Amino acid sequence: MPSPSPALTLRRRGGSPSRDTSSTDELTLKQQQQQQKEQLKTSRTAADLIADHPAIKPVTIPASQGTPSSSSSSSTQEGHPTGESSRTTTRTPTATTSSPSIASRIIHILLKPFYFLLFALLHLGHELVISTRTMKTLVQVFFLPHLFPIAPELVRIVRKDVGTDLVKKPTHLAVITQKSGITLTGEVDETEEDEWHARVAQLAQWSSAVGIKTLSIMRSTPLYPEDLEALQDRVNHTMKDFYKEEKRVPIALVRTLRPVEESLSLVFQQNNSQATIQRDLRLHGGRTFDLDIVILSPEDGHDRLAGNVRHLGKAALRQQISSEQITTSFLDTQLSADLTEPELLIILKDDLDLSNYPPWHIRLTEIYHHPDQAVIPVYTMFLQALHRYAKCEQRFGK
Amino acid sequence: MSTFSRTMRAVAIKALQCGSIPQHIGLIMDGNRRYGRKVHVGNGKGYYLGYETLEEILAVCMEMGVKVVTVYAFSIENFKRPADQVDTLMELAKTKLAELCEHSELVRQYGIGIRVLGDTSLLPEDVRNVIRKAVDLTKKNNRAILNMCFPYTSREELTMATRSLVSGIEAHDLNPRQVSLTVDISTSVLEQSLYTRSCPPMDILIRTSGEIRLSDFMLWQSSRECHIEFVDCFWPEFTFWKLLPILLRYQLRAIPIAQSRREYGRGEVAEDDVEGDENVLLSTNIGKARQTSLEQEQDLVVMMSQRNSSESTLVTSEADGTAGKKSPCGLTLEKKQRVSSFLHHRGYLPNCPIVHLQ
Repeated sequence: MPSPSPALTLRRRGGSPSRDTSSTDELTLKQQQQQQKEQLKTSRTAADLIADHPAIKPVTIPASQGTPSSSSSSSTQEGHPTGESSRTTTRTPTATTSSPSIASRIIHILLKPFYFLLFALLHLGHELVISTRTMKTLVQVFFLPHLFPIAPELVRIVRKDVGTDLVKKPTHLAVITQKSGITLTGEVDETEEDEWHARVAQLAQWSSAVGIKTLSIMRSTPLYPEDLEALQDRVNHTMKDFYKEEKRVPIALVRTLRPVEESLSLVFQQNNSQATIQRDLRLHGGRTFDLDIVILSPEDGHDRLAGNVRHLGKAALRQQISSEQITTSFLDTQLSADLTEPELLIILKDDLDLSNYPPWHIRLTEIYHHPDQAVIPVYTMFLQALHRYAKCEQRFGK
Repeated sequence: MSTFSRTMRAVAIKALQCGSIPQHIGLIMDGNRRYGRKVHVGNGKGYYLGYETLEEILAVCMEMGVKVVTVYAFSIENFKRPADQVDTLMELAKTKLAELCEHSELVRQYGIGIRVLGDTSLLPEDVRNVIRKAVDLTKKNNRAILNMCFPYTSREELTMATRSLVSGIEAHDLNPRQVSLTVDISTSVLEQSLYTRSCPPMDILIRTSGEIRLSDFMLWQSSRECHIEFVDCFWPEFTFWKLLPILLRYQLRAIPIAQSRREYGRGEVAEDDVEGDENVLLSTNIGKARQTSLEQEQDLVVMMSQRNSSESTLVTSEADGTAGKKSPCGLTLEKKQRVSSFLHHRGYLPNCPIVHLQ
């Protein structure tokens, strides 16, 4: 084994260098004729090339077999072929261990298409499983139209559907909607925006029928103030329609979150008088309301927490608070002043993610998501989520 | 585990590697006690079985090329449990952490750095010593990270980060006000003050045992572009084959997730073209050595310009007044240095040393 590999390297080197030197000679000849300045350079580079060239080195390499490090360092310019060949010559006893790595590499390359095929098959199989499940849901939905009417228009029907057997009901329901109202080009899509408004109005109807006090709705873009008014009008109108069989129409208020600094001042107020903050929240413009609809946007997530840190820092510089005072309960009173913790979160999106819903508040929230959004009506999901919430058991760490 | 299933697993992993592999996986290991009761071995044994599952899943993740695995080992709320159960868990954590950092083949092979996230001051002295040792021994490992949340709640983490940033402001290390276009306390700075400071964003969060809550785990990290899965089996029953469909679903979503992360960055850079140009100039001046720090800085610029949109009136008034002379990029650099010195000194977390993952 030791003899063939040096011979191989010699043969390999004997082939290429002679050609190389001849080509460089030609080059220098041409350039000699052209310019005298460059003549020096080129002759030097040619000499360097010859000096560096491995054609000279094969003589020294077999002699320096014991020191593979020096040979490898001197032949770094040549790159891999020399390094590999010298390694094979010097480490002949361990050749058995180095050759499998090459073999396995070759096998790995050969297996690549196989792995890719398997990858495709896995995804195909997974897709099949998902489609089967979707079909099953479709069939279920088809056979349940009487229990879950597609478009409940009256509070009586919703109350009947929800039933009286719910052990517990959420007081704060959060919903994440997918409709952004803005197309890829950045323009406001009127129909989509309108659909979103209709969805909010519908959710407000159902929530008030169930007895939910707060409804927070996450949107993927911020809502314009003028749209907020339009939304309020729409909700008022649909509520009147929804409760037409009853004497009293519940009042819903649509709002967005107040700036962070206000929540901080609320906490300071609270230190002075406990009850005012609660009354402030329940009274708005002198009248009480039954359903508090909060429209959230992605800015109310991470950025709001960072903004809160900034305002706390400013307050600390004003000597209003110190960093030792900042505890979990302090932050909780401050951040929950404007938005309470939701008990139930319904995700009306194809994929399950939280879309930057305020992170502080979703600690113990039950997250309901149906994987077959395309085939299942929103109303069905709403009812299923309520039932899922009713039977959940929270141990609070115990 | 038999050789056959091991081979099958290796083949499946190779196949999965044809698609995108998540960088950061979070695991809520719920249902150990219930599993122990189910198979009639008692609560304590359930924890041990759970640890074995963790080792197996960790090995799978490392083999796939996942960079960070974060596990919820113990919540601050769990101190409410009966004392003997808490003691069992402490004992388990002590032995297993010592085992992991000293004789674990897995940790050595994949160069895993162990981090312990959470308020360790709540733990007994001996457990804290073991934690310190484990973190110190694996501090230099920079190829992968295992985050043990022990005793952790996300609210505690956010409170800790807020408190440390505010204390930095009190000591005048950081400036809460907006100077020209820069702001010290941006969203990314808050993100860097969390326990997961040197980890990539979380891609998948898995909760076992059929519960559909996050239970105060990684609220910040999972809140944006994170694929969440609730699995209906107890943690000791969780295997690679249950992880496989989750990974397949993630792979279907990986491209939109990456796109929306990019857009989140780009959308805000585009708002401020001038600064983008100056950043390019800066990068050519400083050269490649500072390339990485510049990327971070660009990140900060992103956060800043985003603040601009929300408080544009403030920006214009202050930009006209105080610091109109200085170039914004110089200020950004200054501020970047301030923030990083803060993170290395006052805001330093001993159990979460900063490391640049390979």
